[in-house]
Amino acid sequence: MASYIARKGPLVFSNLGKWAYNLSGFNQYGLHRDDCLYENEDVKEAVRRLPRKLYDERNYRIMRALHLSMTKTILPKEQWTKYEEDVKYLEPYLNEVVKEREEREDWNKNH
Amino acid sequence: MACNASKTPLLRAIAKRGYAANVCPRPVGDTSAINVNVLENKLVVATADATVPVSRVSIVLRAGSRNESYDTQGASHLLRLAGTLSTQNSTAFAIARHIQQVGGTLTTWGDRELVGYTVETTSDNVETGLRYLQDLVRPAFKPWELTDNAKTLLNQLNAVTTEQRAIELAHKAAFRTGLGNSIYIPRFQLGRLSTESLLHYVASTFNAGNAAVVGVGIDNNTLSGFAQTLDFPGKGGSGKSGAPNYYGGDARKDTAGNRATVAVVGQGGAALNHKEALTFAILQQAVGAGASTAHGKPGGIFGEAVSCAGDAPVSLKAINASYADAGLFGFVASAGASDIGKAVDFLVRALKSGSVSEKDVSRGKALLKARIIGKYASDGGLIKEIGRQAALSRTVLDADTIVAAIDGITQQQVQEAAKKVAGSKLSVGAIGNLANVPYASDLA
Repeated sequence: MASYIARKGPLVFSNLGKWAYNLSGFNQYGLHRDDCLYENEDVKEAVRRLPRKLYDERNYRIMRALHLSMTKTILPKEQWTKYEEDVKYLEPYLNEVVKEREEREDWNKNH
Repeated sequence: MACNASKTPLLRAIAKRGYAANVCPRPVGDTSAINVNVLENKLVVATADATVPVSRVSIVLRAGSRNESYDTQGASHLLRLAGTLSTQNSTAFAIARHIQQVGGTLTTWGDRELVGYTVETTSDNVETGLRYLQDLVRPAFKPWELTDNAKTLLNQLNAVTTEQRAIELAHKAAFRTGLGNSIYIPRFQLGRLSTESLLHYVASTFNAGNAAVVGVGIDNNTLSGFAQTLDFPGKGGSGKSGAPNYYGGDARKDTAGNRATVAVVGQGGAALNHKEALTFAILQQAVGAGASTAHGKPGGIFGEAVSCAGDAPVSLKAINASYADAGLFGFVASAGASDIGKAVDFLVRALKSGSVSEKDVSRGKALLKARIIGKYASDGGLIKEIGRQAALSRTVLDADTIVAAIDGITQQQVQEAAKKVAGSKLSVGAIGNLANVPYASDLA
């Protein structure tokens, strides 16, 4: 499935972006950006569509983050997610889900 | 996508002009003339006139179950399911809603050799139908849609009749691989066929040399224009599989209950050998293809054989399966477990006798002619018939030619066909309570 290859790193690299990314702090738990999305209907559906391996990795990262949060610690610095290595693994699936939803909404508006 | 932009307005202009000229060009019940042309990329386009202003268009591909390997068994069943799934260019939602909105239907069908997608719309909305029909040659098989439809597939398997399953088993015994593959997905393959292997199957079978585009109620130029823009995923020519070997033997499946269904077949006629195929079709009607009245008994020697076997109720049908390069001929019978042995015994004796009377042959001819003209006379039957012929033999015969060919077949030739079956090794497919069902070696 060639069209579902995830983007790695930011769309446009900038120092400001990197500063903001590191400031947000979720990377210190080893999370990726797509692990932190609010789980609305679209995201839920996209997560459902993830291949098994990506789905398990996501769950592992989230469970590890919850554990770290509970013990009030963070990962050692070499394990933090880097701004350049943040994988947007959910993006292709989420885009497709949103497009399908918009198609449905358009249809309901026009027919 | 660029091709879509240029195509649609052109289609519209030609189509409108075509429909203005003749809205209802042929009287109901009359058989239609058929136009066939072969495009540069070897795609066959065939069209016929309709009796009502409804357009039916089919894409028929030689992608049936005989092309499956051991590991991809069931791929052709999923191709039939693919009519309700998303494609590379449009979502399942879009396909279903747009076709529904114009009052159309989209159906998929398939057998051991072919998979067909047929769209049926009123003639003024044919563009909408074609727009979504063209997408179906590029199915996407998204993994989540396959898992979402697992239940549908299971329901389809559960709805398969025991007669059909006995026939599947007989094919398995007769051909083992290739034509022996079931047209239904085996249960152990449910959920095992990955998107990648399905797309590979599509890429190896969906190509122009393997396909035909046929229409009823659409003019040939319009449909040729549409066919030219079809974007097949496979680029090869027609991938001819070698002629299948006939083996014969047993394929039995014991299940609970006290009924048994048995299919016994020998070698029949190949469809590409046109005369032989027709001879076997006459023979099928002559020996008893099915009762002409509801709950009645078929005539011919099969019907008599069942009567001789006793009073026990036996449901019986002669089978004649003609594939491109091989065929099967025999019967499928179903009865209580204690009666089936005797019935099969008598029926096999009738099959082995290899005799057909003059009276049976002329009745067979009349029945076959009625059946063929009946198919050609209705639009729904016609689209399927010309789709099959165009995809398999790359040409389409009109009803008059076939009827003339039937008249030309002598009793002697039918007799020879019956002798051919009688002389071949038998294959037995049986399902149910098989306590009294004979093995193939006992029937020799």
